[in-house]
Amino acid sequence: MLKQLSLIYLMLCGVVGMWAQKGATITNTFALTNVTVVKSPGETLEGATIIVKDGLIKAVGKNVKIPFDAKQIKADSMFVYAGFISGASHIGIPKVEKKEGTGRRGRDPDVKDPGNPPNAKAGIQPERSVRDLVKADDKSIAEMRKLGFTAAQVMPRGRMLPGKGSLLFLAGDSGNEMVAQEDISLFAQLQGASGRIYPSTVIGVMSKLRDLYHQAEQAKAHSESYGKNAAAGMRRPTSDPVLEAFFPVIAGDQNLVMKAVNAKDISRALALQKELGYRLTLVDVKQGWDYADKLKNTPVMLSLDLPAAKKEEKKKEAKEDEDEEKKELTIAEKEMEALEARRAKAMEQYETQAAVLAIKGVEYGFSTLNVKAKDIRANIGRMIKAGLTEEQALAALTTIPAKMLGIDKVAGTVEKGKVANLLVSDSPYFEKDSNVRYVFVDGQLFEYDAKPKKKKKAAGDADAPVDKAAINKIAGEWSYNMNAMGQQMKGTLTFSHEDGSWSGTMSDPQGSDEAEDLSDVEVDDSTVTFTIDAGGMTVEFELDFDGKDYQGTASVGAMGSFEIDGKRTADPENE
Amino acid sequence: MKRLIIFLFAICAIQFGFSQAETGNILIKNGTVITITGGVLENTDVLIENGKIKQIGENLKAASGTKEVDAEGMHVMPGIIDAHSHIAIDAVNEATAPVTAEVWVGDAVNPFDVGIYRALAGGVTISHAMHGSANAIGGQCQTLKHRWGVTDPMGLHMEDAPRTIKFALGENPMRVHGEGAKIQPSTRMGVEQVFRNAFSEAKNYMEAKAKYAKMKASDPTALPPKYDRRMETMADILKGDIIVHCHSYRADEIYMLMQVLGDFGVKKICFQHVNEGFKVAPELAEFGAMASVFADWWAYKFEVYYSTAYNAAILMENGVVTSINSDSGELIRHLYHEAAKTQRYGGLSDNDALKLITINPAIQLGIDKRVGSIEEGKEGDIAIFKGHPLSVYAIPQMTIVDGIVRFDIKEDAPDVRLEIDPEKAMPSYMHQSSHHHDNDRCMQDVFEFFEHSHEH
Repeated sequence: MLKQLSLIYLMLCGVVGMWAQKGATITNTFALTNVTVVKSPGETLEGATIIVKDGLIKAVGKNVKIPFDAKQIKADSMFVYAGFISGASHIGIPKVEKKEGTGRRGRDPDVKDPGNPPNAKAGIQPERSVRDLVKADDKSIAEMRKLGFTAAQVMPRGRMLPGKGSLLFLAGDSGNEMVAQEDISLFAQLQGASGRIYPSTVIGVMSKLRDLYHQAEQAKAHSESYGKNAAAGMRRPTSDPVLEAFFPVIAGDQNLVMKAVNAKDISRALALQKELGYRLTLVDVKQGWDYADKLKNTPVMLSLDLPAAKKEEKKKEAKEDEDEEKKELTIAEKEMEALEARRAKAMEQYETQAAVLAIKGVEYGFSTLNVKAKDIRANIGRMIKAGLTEEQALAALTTIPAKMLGIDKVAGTVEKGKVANLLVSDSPYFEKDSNVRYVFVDGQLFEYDAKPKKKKKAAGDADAPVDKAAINKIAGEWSYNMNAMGQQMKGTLTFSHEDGSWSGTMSDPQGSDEAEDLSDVEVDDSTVTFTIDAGGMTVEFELDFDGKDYQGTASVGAMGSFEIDGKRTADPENE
Repeated sequence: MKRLIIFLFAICAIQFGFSQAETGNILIKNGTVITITGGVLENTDVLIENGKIKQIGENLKAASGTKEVDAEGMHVMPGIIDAHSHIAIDAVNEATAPVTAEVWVGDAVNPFDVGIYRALAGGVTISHAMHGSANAIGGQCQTLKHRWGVTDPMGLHMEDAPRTIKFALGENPMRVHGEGAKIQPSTRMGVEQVFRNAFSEAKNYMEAKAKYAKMKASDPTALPPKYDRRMETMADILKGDIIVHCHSYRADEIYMLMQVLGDFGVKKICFQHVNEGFKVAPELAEFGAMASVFADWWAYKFEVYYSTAYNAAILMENGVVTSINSDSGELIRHLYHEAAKTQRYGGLSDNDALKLITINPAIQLGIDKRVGSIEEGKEGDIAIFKGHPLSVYAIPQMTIVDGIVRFDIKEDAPDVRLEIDPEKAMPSYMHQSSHHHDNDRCMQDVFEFFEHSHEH
């Protein structure tokens, strides 16, 4: 522990030193005056001054002398919190470009034996380090920082074993500048390889994890024994970076961090842990409500992602008012009504997860592996509305992840001597209209404008506001390319917008003239979701549009999902 | 107020959690008890305590507060056991290699599969969740108790049930690996060689381990063979710790596998499907091999044309321990009808017909000391029918697992799902998994799946 701390300090000094060399800034001393400081969850100090100097919090209190070289920040009546810490995230790690195999039936031509593929193809890359993978200019870093996140345990992207997790501070010009603690955990997911190679299913992945773990135990024992017995003629251990990546986990120096989004994954992760005996952290948990007892003994990070809230509620209410005395419901309508009630109940389970686990005494942080930055504040708001206290929310964003990541001595609270990771908002953070105005990462200041209050829409506006930008971005004709279970499919997708609703078509991949109508087309910023009915099976699509291209997935129930991408071929104006 | 609601929510969840994996007490009164192993007992009570059958007799008394079920005019039989199923698992085939002995479908149990409830509604209390038939040596299977309502996947595992593994002969492994990946096996000969190679390799592995165990005390430089879960599993088959369940159709291949197993000293084998089992019934009996068959299902691919509905009766007459299975989320709901077909085709007695779906599959799964008949000391898995279970008018009324009622026709809610996706507008839960592929998942997760095959 002590060693880790001194390491952090060393790195801090390095970072601060580099920062000072840049010389672009006049001073690295700041004073925030007359602020309300939430020093730690539940502990508030009003009318305080905070001095930040050389990357550290130098003073927090009422009668603090402001150093002569301090840049004074007008933060009158603003609120200061410890910078948020994401317990697990892919911040700064660009999405991997997914390539399906180009060989026969979608197979990867580079893989000679699908049952024994090269490790990198199989998603077995536990030796990778975030330092080499992070892109300092990835937009996710600025996005998350703007929300108040200043540090994160960052995980490489990938499949079964994507690499090691590192603690990053969310500012800096390179991976080297951002890494606060390198390789603090081993990241694992119950996700099979793509392109029809081993391990392709959850049963393959769990088996392979056992195999690797036991082999790593052997390799570790061998290399330790070799130190003693080399002279006696022991065979030299061969170096294997994959197995060596497990050594600190076997030794108990690192946790194996398992992504466990749903209830089944939680159970599977716990079963594997019980069998193999390593220290486990569960991250991105969304369905933990039945597992409170077990989660008390396991570090856990709950996902900040929630199922999308329904949008059309207002519309429906209005409609109900209109024909209040409607005819009796048909059986199908009653069925739909019961179904809607169950959906609402299910939604409640997701939204109350954090509150329920807190009441049952589970300590948790939050993770952001799979959540869009723009949804995070709204989702925290929904959890609070569902019963989570603001104190608990703040603890899960600051003190608890700091403790779980072993950095509570230097981060997580606003205290003298800690790293200057701070967020300043113009009203209490968890209030709906609050704006983050300043963020300090490692003593480096980032300033933000207050966003203008939204104008109330004039009465008589259409229910659905017409999103011109989305229409420009999405409407029109697009090509598509799918590789479904080894079959290449190509064709045309169209989207059109009329009176506030979206529709579209998908051409027959076999090339006939027939086109299928898309159902449930929804457009949210640059994400489009829809379904099609393929001979009794519902295929769900989610596409992310980026300029003239899009990428996405199509999923078919339990049979899994495959990738789809395409390019714009025509837009409405050009027709 | 809000906090209060949350608190209640939490408490409810805790209580729900408690009721999950527990065993129950129940007294079933005045039924016609079909014991399977001890005749049919009229007007008889069955008392289950702590999940076990405590007593069978007349006018039994239970501790006060015990749930009582009036079974007057009803038939009470042991919970039905399906020796071949793919319900309630998220992965069926790890179809990437011809030998994947190391994988285990017990890792992939899905307690939310509504198929479990449907099976309960057909009186089925135990199913054998099997790996698929894509590989010559597929993965290990898991015997499941249908504890519908338990949300922990591991909570459905039948505790201490013997380990089983899926093998497959013929066209499926040939097509997936030979045709699909251009590796062995591409022929039926190749399939045999895959078995022989895997067993031989496992023998070498065992020898290397034994050698290391002997040497390590005296020689500090000794090293064990590299840990290999696949070989560990194959070794366990050789040691007799795992029962082989082999997907099979043709008599020549069935005979071939018996030769292979005989050469390697493996005795525990249950053939699955075995459509041509009737041709080699005496040979199966002599080897001690068992057979789990369809009642009357064939002609869905070339190797399954030569079949007869008399198969089960012929096998049974020859002394082969035989069961009738579903391999289907649909057939599993009426295995009692499937068993009854052996009375039309083969004239089996009531008791012999019912053995096909109770004690015999229990033997094939190695759990016959615990379930498969109504006997004192056995586990409280019971199906209660209105009408004789072999009658075409039979209607399952109640299904009990470990003394807990998991299905009751009187409380059959319109929507029983345990898990709802709040984002999905499902048109109706009735349609949840109605596409036809759901009925046969032996080849699920196989990439060639979409190439329109109807596989078992």
